[in-house]
Amino acid sequence: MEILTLGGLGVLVLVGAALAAGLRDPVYAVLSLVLTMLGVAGVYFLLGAEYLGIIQVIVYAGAILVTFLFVVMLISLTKSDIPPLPRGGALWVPLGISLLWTGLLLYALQEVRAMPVRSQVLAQEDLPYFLYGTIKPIGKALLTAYVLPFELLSFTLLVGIVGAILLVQKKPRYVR
Amino acid sequence: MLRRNFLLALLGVEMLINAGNLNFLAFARYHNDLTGAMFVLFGICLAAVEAVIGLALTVRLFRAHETLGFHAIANLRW
Repeated sequence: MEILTLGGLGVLVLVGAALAAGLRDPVYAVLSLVLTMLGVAGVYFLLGAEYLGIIQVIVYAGAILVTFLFVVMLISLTKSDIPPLPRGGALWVPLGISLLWTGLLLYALQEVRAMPVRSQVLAQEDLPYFLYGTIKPIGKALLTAYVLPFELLSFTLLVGIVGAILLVQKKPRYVR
Repeated sequence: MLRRNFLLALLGVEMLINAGNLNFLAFARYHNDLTGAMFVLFGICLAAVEAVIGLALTVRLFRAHETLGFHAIANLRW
């Protein structure tokens, strides 16, 4: 049952990503990327990381891609602004390279099962398997072991907000 | 690179970040270790910042050049 769900989600993710890369209308490309993000969120849920799945839906499918849609409408990008997919070698050579790489990765992943567990940065012996994705261990880690990256990240977000506002000013005052 | 358009290239970058996040989480789950989950959380936030800055640049480039094709914005002097 799990493997069937994972397969279905994988198909959803791949189809969404292929459509996002191939569609000429930017609005539809962004909407198919929403499909991909929802599929990835489903995989997160399946992995037992419920909190991250919810964050993925809210931040990615909700916020980031809606911002993309806003920008598509703001600059009135239409189908004619986007060239059609190239034919011949320019399309098939990158596709072949990526398929080859995927096959190589799948081959390498067969060794993973035999790999010993090494990483024990946060000792998780006391963390039951089913509690992995809940908010409690994540919050605890964020405010103990990861408090410095957490605060730096909030500062990064602030810089991002200020930078975006500066960049889109009609009459830029502080941007040369 | 196939699309030669700034906005769709950003869309591709988002996809790449997601692939990385998925790998982090899958291996973290395999090891029952929260470090990977933390990386995913930070990665999502950084992706949001990256998207906002990238989209601001997109708007600005479009205002300056009236197009987003890579051929038109190859020259980044100002």
